[in-house]
Amino acid sequence: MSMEILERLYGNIYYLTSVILFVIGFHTMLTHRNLIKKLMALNIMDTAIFLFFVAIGYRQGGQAPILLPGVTSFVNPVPSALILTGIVISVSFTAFALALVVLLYKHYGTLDSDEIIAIRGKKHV
Amino acid sequence: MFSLTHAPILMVVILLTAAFIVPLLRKHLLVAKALFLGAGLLVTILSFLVAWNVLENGTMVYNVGGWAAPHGIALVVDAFAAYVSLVISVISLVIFWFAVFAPREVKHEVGYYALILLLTAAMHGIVMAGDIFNLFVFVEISSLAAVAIIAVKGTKESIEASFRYLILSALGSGGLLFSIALLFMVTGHLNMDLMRQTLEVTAGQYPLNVLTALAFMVVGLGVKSALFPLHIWLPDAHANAPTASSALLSGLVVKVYIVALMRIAYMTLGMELFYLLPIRQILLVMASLAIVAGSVFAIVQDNIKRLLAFSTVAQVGYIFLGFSLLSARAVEGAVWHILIHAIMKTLLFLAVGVVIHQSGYKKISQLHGLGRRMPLTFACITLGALSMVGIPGTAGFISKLYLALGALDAGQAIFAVLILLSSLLSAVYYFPLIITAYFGHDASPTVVEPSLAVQLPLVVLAIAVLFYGLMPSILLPLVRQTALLITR
Amino acid sequence: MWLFWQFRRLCTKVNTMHDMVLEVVNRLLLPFIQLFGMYILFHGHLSPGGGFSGGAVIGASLILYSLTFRFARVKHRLDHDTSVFFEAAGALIYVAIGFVGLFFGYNFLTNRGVFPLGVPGQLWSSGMILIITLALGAKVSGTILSLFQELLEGGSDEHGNP
Repeated sequence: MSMEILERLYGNIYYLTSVILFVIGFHTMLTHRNLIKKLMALNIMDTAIFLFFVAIGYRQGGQAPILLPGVTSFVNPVPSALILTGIVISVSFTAFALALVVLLYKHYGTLDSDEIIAIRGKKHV
Repeated sequence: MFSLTHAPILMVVILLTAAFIVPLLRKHLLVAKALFLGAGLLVTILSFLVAWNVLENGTMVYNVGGWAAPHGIALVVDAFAAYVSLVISVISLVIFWFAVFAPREVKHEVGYYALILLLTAAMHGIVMAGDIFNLFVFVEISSLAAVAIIAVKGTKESIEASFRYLILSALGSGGLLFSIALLFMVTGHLNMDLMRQTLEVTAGQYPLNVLTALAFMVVGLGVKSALFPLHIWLPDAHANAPTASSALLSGLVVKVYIVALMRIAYMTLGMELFYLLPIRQILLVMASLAIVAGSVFAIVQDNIKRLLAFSTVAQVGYIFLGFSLLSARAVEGAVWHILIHAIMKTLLFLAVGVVIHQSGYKKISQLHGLGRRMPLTFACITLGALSMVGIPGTAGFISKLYLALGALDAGQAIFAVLILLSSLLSAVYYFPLIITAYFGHDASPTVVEPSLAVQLPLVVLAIAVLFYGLMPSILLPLVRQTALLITR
Repeated sequence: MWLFWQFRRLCTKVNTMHDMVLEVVNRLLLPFIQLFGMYILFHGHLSPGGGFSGGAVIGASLILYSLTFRFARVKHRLDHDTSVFFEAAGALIYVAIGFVGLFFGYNFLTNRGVFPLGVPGQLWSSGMILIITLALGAKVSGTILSLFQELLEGGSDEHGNP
């Protein structure tokens, strides 16, 4: 019984890994106060989703889908192509967020989200 | 050569191209402004033609690159898409005008115009996309541009608000991409129509996948459209943005994500599946909470822009309520509300922005007697506020009437009561604004009206509020067809 | 504030630094990096890779160039306006290619029937894909360089549109 579960887990190892990574990223993003760490967690989360998406198209022993003699088993190219777009989007999100972090640091002098909220709150009162 | 079939892609491409050219014209500000307005005008004309064509000939499908459905990317313009892109182009044209002629609030004007163009292009793309990944890409572009048009103001608060919006928005994007991956896993397609056909067969075999996908999708797009418990980024973001950005974000951007969710619901999942899953009940509860909580939070605000932002939370609740009640008239009410709330909220944000710029006052308690100093602006604000409350004769009455009747049709009279109650609540927070402005001692004799070019958008929108209140029939065929698409 | 000043100090350090090893190694390395990027670009329709990957390699090489050689010295060669221009030009070429299909009576971005397709597997094949890849390469390298320059200039101009 337990062997069966282990085998099933091993068969879905990519999905399992991506879900674990997703949860790590999600948790870090919501609980850590450092803005840079938040961004790193965001990237981990995105990577987890990319891994999940690419794993859908993966095929045991498949090769790059280019017409060459002797190649019969192809990996599904659609998820890879989509994920390339996803990576571009993730890069632009990260770059923009880093620019914002630089500005936040300039204005508040800290990278701690709680301190930023505290400074802002003091000004309101 | 340029037949009307190409119009959908041209709308997106014209705006994107303009967005890339405008930043190059830093030294030629007048040319940049002309290009900005010209692109908006051209797209508005095209969207009218598309709407007319959809009414006459039915749904338009455009295959980019000439590749048909399984391989290519399609733009599917049905009645809903035509209607929403009509709303987007008209309202954004008014906001474009305001952004060009209103007093300058941002450092780099050409960059700001480029971002607004990018945002508008992405919104048109979202409502017309027939391919779910294409929809995701447009959602991402619009999220990024939406965050950027808050940050361009450059104040402490706006940067902090936009960073928070960025983080939550990225979280939402992650959820959306995950749900697309799960649906792709089950169907093997990305074209929304083919996905629905496959899902009819495979949804029963993989119920967990579909359920998880739907949960991620609702949370992902719910964060972006500020559905009640996920709305925490909205008040700061909308209140600290430049005036034109606030209007654009509150009036259009938030709603476009609801449209995306509904299009995925009826194009990808099919309404039968949507009925079977418990998502509808959850959405009903969250929408009702949004209506009540948004109004209650709005009552305690003294900052005018924050008040308007919380009011947006409540109004998003109305639209979700209409769509999840799913009776014909409720859906019609929600579809109406997309247009009418866009008009009212744009009017209010632009007018309040003008007031803040002319007087420097940001709080309701400071407005004493300003109504006599700025009669035209405050007449527009009054009209917008009355419409928000839902006074008969204004546009807001129409959508609320439809929503309440729809709730009765669906056999859930409690929601009709809720709508009445929330109208009362909105009277509680909108009337102090008007009363303080018109009564009380005159504290600010130096404040004057802005120039006519700045007031033109306000007047146009105020006339639209009255016009739809008295003659709602002008867009009725499109709204009817949209409701049919969703409730069939 | 501390990090910001550190960052500025680093930038000024970059401006004043004379590192012989770094400069010589980069002089040797840069042409090959850029050639590799060009290879990825030109073979985008034949092998894995394409506009984004090739553009990213070239953009990274440009960042390396402006980091190694004093930033102030190369500024006149790689200033911000240039990278923004490349960004816009790449996108505009893409759109122009799209309109070619429209002018011949096909749909937007049509390839078959408008451009000569050539023999699959050869360099000059696949119609517009090669041109689009090159345009994307220009756009991506321009974007990456301009993002770097934005951050270097202290994030004063913060629109990082994709």
